[in-house]
Amino acid sequence: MAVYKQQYRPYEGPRTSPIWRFLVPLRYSYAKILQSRLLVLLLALCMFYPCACATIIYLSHNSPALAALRLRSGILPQVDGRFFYFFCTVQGSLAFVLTALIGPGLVWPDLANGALALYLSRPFARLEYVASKMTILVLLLSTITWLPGLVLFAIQAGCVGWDWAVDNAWLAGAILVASIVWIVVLSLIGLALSAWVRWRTAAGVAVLAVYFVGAGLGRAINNIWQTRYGYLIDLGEVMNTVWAGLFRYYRGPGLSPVHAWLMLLLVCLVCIKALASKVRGLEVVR
Amino acid sequence: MSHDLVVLEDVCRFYGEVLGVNHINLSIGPGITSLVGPNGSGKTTLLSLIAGLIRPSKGRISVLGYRPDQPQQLMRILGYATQFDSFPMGLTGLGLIYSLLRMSGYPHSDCRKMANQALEQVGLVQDSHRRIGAYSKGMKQRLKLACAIAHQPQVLLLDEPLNGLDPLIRATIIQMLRRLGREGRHVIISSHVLNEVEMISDQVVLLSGGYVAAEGPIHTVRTEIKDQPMEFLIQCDKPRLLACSIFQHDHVVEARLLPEDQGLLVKTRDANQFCRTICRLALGQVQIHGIIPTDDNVRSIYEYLVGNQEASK
Amino acid sequence: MTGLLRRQLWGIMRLEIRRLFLSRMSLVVYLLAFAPAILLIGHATFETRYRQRLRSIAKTHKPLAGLDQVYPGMSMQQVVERLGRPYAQRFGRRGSPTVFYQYTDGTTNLTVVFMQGYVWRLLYREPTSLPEYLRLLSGIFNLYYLRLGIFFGAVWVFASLFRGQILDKTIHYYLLCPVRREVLMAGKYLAGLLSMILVFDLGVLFQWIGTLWLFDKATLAGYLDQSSLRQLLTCVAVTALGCLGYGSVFTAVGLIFRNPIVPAAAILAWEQINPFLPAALKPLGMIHYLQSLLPSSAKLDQQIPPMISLLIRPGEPARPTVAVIWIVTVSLVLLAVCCVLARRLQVNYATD
Repeated sequence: MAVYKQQYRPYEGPRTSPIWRFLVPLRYSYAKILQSRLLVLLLALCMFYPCACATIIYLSHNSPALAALRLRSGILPQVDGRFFYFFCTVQGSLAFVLTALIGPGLVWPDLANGALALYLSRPFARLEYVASKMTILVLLLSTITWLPGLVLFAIQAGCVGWDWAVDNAWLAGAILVASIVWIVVLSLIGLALSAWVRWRTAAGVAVLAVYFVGAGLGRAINNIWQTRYGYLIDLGEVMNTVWAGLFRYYRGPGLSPVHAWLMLLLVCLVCIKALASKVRGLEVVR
Repeated sequence: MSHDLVVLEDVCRFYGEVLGVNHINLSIGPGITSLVGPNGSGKTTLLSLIAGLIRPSKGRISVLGYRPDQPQQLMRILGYATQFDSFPMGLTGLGLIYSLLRMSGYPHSDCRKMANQALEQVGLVQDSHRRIGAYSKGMKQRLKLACAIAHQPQVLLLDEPLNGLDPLIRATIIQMLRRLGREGRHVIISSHVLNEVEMISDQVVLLSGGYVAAEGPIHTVRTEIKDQPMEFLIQCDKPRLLACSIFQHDHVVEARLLPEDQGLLVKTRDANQFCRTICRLALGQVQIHGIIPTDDNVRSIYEYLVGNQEASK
Repeated sequence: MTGLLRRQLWGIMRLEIRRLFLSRMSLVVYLLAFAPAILLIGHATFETRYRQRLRSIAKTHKPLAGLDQVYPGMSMQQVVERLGRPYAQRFGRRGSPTVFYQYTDGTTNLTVVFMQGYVWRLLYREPTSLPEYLRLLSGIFNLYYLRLGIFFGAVWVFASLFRGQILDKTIHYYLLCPVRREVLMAGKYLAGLLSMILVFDLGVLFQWIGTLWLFDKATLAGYLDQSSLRQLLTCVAVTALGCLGYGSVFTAVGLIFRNPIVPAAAILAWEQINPFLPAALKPLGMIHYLQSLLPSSAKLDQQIPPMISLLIRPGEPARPTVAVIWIVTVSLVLLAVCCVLARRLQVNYATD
């Protein structure tokens, strides 16, 4: 009998479920992210608008408080699709800023330091790696988008009554879908750029550029070609169109919601393709 | 400041609250000097301080009379092969050395010649036109050496220069380093491979926890370690008799017979007295074939000075 | 300048220019610089073919009267009596009572939309005039090129001059050369500046070529006679000044901050809100001076909201000499700061 057969004893104890292994790298990433005071400050700032909205909802159903503040009841905005559309616009912009700050640092360091080979040499697939990195952004962005959105919905339901909640249940669904779609798009863009652009700085600039340069070029296309299809490369406009459709809010002429959804799908597919080509254990240079 | 020495005077370097090196006083002359110490003992910090890549928190450094904050003068006489395996993107081996020499101000024709010479010395001529990204670890290591020696510096700092090299290339590089040392250049090497350090070094600097634990030629360092008895292997015809005789002397703390007549292992507190005793005994009834100091090497010094501290941590 | 210094400077610039021009990362700069030009040249190509097509159609289907002789409310028969048979006819979607007739006189295309047999809408597509095109070009330059293209190009190139190499762990190769840190800084900055100016000024030139290409010699001669080329030269100069100014800002940012994305985002926000700032704060933005140098205010289209038109037209522009002096002085001060920072630069990759 070979020596190794006599002496080698592999680990035979229990193993964690493979389904949840993608959560392992999360804890380290969060620990690192939350070390940054700037990010913690930004996260706190992201809660300002939801708090203001909650105050508005509370005041609009509290006549004595309104009277004490000498405000007319009509001065406060109505809590409807338009209200939540603007909520998503503000929180979505902040989610974008957070992605520009956090996203670039997610994949790039692993690629630069050869850590990907270490991850992938374990029973940890590329898909799990991407899911793990994506979960970091998804959870963080959820805390500033759909979670406070649903809390606002619940506050309104609590103030008005169960009937309002039943009649406007589509609003809760819209908040959830609108936020999750935006989070997924942002996460994929953040990860793809982090994987493709070698430096954290450059990847951050690229995330900003995708948004702002896309908007600028979109306008240029519209003006040169006398069309509205330029908006297709304006990520903000695309997302606003999708949100407006979900919240049944008319924004005036612009992109059609179908085109906007298709564009989002295309962006996601391109990002997934980009990630698939970069998230590999080994990069061959000739 | 001396013009033929690398001098460090009371040099300290802290990374925030973390100690890099502390109160380092060294004068390094021509020849090969090895910095030896465990991981995190401050070897790389010391090399980076000498090269001016980092500044000391306290103290003064002079490299053959030049200050490290004068790169325009210092880097003419200094070459540094760092521990980092990263290279500027998209360049070939030859392209990198050529570009660095152009940056140093050498004219085009000289740059080409000097780059080729350096690549030849490290055996990388054949691959000089390949992109660095495609190089193996050993080739990258050799390229770093080539970058460091390309401008023929007087002072050469090499951080773990033999890492990742195959045995043949290793021998070639050791030969090259020996030649550079013989030529009177200051070759300062940081290394973990103790037997290679011993093979090539004229003197060692032993670092531990950011402090210099010992410095000087290996033999001198060993004799200065008073608290550790020196160990000798004596090969003779009557080891038992010799053991009885020698053990009567106060300076002998241990005498051990090795199996299968391999000889007698003696530990003594005083090497000079031990030699005199052995001479006297050799004139008598015991025929001595040989006396070999068994702990007069870098490994033993390392164990005595660093191993104890590491063990006590 | 001594021979050695010149050789060193050129050695640094050579390596940097190569990196900035030939690496995969430089594709982003090319995209930022040439995207408007590609759009304009593409449009010019399309428009030229379209005009040729209209001219050839007009030869065989010339309208009987001027295209302005039809009005909403006219019947289909009246329109055909006035203008003759259309060169193209199209029906609305299945079940829709809409019919489209197309006429052209060789330059203008008219689409007559009939609803249930009567003219509902008249859609004229007239060729855009040169002044209109130039206004459009000016709008693109002002709103996209200056505010976004050059800005992001400068962040991309200059913030990574040092920081990129620190992150790549390759800056020590430069620091181990017998070169004064100031020379290293100057070499890197000049390389970035030359690359940026070359790429972005070429972008401006191509935009103009794309625009002027559409027009015949007579129109162009009239335009050139009016010495309007000054507008082009101003755009070229403002581009160069933008590269100079933003370049120095982001070189400093790259040296000071470990993660330059935060200050870059802050500067972007500051520059974007500059038109809405109080008069005392406006001069603190680079964009204020750059816009002050531009000869004409842009007008993109009628639908531009007032907020965006404010972005285009600075309230109280600075005098050109003041603007140039301010940009150059700020750049020199920042470069001096960069030299000090470069002198103090230490290689400690573990903390980056």
